[in-house]
Amino acid sequence: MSELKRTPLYGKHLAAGAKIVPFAGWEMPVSYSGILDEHNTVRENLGIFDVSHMGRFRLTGPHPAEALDYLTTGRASALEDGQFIYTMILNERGGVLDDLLVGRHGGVFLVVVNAANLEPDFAHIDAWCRRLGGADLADESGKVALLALQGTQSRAALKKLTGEDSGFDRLAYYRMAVFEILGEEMVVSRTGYTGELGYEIFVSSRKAPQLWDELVALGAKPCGLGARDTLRLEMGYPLYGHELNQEHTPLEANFSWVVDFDKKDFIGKQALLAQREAGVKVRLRGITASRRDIPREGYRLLRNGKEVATVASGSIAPSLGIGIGTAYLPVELATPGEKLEIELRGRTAEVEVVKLPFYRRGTAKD
Amino acid sequence: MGIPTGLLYTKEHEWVLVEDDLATLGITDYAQSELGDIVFVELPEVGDEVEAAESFGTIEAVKTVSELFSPVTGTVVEVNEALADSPDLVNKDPYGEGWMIKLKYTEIPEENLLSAAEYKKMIT
Repeated sequence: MSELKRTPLYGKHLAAGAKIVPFAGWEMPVSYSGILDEHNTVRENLGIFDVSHMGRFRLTGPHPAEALDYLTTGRASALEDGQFIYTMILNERGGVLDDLLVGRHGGVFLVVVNAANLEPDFAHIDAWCRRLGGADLADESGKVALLALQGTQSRAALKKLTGEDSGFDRLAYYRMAVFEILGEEMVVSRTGYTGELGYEIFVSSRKAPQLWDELVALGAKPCGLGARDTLRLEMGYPLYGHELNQEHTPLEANFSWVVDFDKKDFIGKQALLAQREAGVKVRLRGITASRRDIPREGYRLLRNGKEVATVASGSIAPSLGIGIGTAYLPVELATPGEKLEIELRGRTAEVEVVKLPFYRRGTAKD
Repeated sequence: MGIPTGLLYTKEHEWVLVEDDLATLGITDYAQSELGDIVFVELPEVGDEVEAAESFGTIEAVKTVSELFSPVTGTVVEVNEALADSPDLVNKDPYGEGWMIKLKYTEIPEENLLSAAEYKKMIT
């Protein structure tokens, strides 16, 4: 095991009393005041997350959009300046290598990937850029910190830092723009992983601690990976390694909306076309349980005592007061309202199949 | 981190209060702090037999599920019913309102138990 990395905000986390855990090669805060408190703060007010561990690449050259069109399921070439899309990188079998954000900023494309997949993603994209030509990939993950300001009060708080006349409050969902904050030009995108109104701020490592302090002073409560996970799961947002992996396709994961079949070609297209023709055999669904029967990753789901699936992610849903989980279910059992049993430490309990998301009052698009 | 004297402790971070033939069990302040927000406690029923060093229930935090181990052998005479609706009592008051079960004990294997001073040494 190589040495764990620390973000430019590590000192801030310690000072705020964070519980630190190893995550994808980084020492990251899992919680500060408590996962439930942090979760509720984001739903009702304002939280700040250090997500500097996320991988960030820049794609330049004469034809970066063409390379991304071939490498991902989305259409980077159709992006307007200042627009992000959520998309996926597939293998030839249609399995998911990673889910990612691709954004266009002038002639440059920004790519945001999962920390755990940074190295294989870089190698994969870089190899294809060389093969296709016209696109150069650079990893700038270490140079730029990334803060996620999430919660219903995020717009008001950031407006104070960008100034009244910045036009900041007109920034639309999945759009980015450059704003002057604390005397520095920063890219701010209206994106997030919580389901609430929120922004992600690309800030230099040097300036990141000051920005953190300013946002905390404006009322943002530090939140860790624990709350990030409960918030995303309530929204049904997938987490790579849980809902997404090389064994399942975007069609099975209910992400056909990120696949542009009209593109001439992209990696995985033939496999997805064949699967679309034949029909999927499993489908990602939510399961709900009582708060006494919380699903956990790896727990078995049964029908008439026979295993039909295992839980991909599971947790208490703090905003709903129930147990929730996700699983790839055989399509004949994937109808909302279907009842299954879950095996919990020597006993079984009933769960109900539901469509995602679990939580439907998020403010992300408000 | 609170470690009251007058209680005995296990290496698995339970505490036990022994009064006459009754033993009251819970988890320590250190344990609740490490676990974080407790969201569910699964306990035996009154009348159940519990064996020393064996599991008598489970405790779930937001992220984790852990077994609860009894330091004593005996019969459950009372269960903290308040934890069903307010598992967070374990976080708020681990040695008081967050107690878990009371047993009429038949055996307390002393070799498994630590004094407050010994427990403190173990966790620091």
